[in-house]
Amino acid sequence: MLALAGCGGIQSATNPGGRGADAIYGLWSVFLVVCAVVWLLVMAALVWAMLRRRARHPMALAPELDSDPNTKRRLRRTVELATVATLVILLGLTGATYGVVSKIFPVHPRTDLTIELTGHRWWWEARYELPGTSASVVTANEIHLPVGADVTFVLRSDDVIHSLWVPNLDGKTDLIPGQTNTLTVRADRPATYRGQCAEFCGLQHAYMGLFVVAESPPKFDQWLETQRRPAPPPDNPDVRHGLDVFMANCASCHRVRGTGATATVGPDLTHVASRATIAAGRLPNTPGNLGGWVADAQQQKPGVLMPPMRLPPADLQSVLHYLGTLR
Amino acid sequence: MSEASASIYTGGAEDLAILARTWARPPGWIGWLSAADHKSIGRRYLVTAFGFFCFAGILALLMRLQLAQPEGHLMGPDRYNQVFTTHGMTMMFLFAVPMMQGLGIYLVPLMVGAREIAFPRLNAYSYWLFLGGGLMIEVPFLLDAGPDVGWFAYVPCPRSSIIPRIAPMSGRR
Ligand code: HEC
Ligand code: HEM
Ligand SMILES: [Cu+2]
Repeated sequence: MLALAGCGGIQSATNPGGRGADAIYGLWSVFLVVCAVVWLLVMAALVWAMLRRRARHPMALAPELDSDPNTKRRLRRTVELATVATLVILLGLTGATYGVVSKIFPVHPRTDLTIELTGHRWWWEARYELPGTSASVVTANEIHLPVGADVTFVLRSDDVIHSLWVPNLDGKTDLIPGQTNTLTVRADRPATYRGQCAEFCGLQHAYMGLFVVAESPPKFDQWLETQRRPAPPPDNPDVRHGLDVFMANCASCHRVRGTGATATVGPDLTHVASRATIAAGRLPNTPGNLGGWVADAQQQKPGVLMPPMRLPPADLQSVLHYLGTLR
Repeated sequence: MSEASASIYTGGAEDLAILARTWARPPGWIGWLSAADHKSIGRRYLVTAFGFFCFAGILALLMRLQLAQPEGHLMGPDRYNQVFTTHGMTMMFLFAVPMMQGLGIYLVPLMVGAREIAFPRLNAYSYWLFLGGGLMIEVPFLLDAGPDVGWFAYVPCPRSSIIPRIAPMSGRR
């Protein structure tokens, strides 16, 4: 029971929800069964041999190998058979592995949707190219995908090596500075999965998570439509003050489309209120967590590249109200 | 000794005494420090490597304690990164490799019937380098200044504390 506790999880290779993960889970199951059977056979042969020797030579401490030519021939047969079986099994497992690899990394993958995913210490920037326009949608740490589509991630890094790993969808692929890697995934049913940076990238590597929301194509289109809209202008004085505070304190690092804030040091916040978590999956996106984060991000993610802001309480409240309008 | 070699040997007790003096270990603690006998050196490698193994084992236990529950508070991320890096480096370079080396130094001369390993003093010198180098890895760790970028230290991660952001290379900015 305990061994199965990992199954069915939102971050588990034993709960595949996409083409790549299916193939990997199938391969893993084949390896598990084959290796378990081989292990059982070897152990059974060992026990059988020990018991048989004992029965035949009850008094002997170190029985000599039989010198009887018949027995010798049988022994040689057995060794030859075991060698051939080993070869066949190893070649079979190798063949199965190549089969799965060619399924996960096809030479010419089909692509319905391209997402540029850039690794930053310690968060993920996702850029969706919109077909037919030069516009793009930029978001962070929460990736939405249409179910059934072949989605190609174009993987890059802004600083050090990271690795994208969403075990329910596919294997790992590294994000390497100065190099572009791609990974094409297909999610097969609507679900939310958790991913994790899988290459040690410094202080906050452990809190570099991400969420993948696989949803039906209509829901995905609706999400994309919302994300491509710029931020609404403030509709009351408090929120307007919040925007001013934001422009004065945060615009040097963050972008909010539709305002003058265009920096890309930190995540794009145009629709931050629509995300389920903040800080790369570190915290649920609640008003309390958001307030604590903006006041002093170092508390929750020590060493994070966002400084403690130390705003006067009134300004902090206003900027939080402003962030709340960024749905 | 076979007859052939017995007939080649022309020296006497005097030569044997010179040999014994050459191979003898000076008295006292200086002698202990300058021992070059492959069995002593091999044993020292094994004991020292085992010591490092225990130290890295304690670090392994600390890591498992930290990971025993989510959001553990035994240590912060910086300390944790130092712990697993030092654990990995110690296990690989100060335990696994020298353990094999110690076994070889002890056993191989016995197996091939040689009086000593080739270059016995170089062999002894290597041991002291191993001990000194190992301590140079552990002491900074104990002073909370240990390496923290993983035992593989993939660049550019180790550089990133010096150069905070390398130029964006994605070609779209
Ligand atoms: C020096 C640059 C910098 C400044 C100034 C800055 N931030 Fe950040 N901010 C970051 C970085 C980098 C992150 C990503 C942290 C991480 O998750 O590792 C971030 C993350 C965030 C997030 C979480 C976004 C998400 O979706 O995960 C919010 C919200 C945020 N900042 C709000 C603010 C506000 C409000 C201000 C101004 C009061 C501000 N930031 C000022 C760099 C900065
Ligand atoms: C019961 C014994 C052991 C335990 C409980 C243990 C525990 C761990 C843990 C928890 C980590 C990963 C930490 C992390 O990345 O978060 C780790 C990493 C590692 N361990 Fe062990 N370990 C043990 C024995 C060994 C042995 C015997 C060796 C080698 C001879 C070894 C070599 C390594 C290496 C090379 C790493 C990677 C370090 C890095 O990423 O920099 N470990 N160990
Ligand atoms: Cu990482």
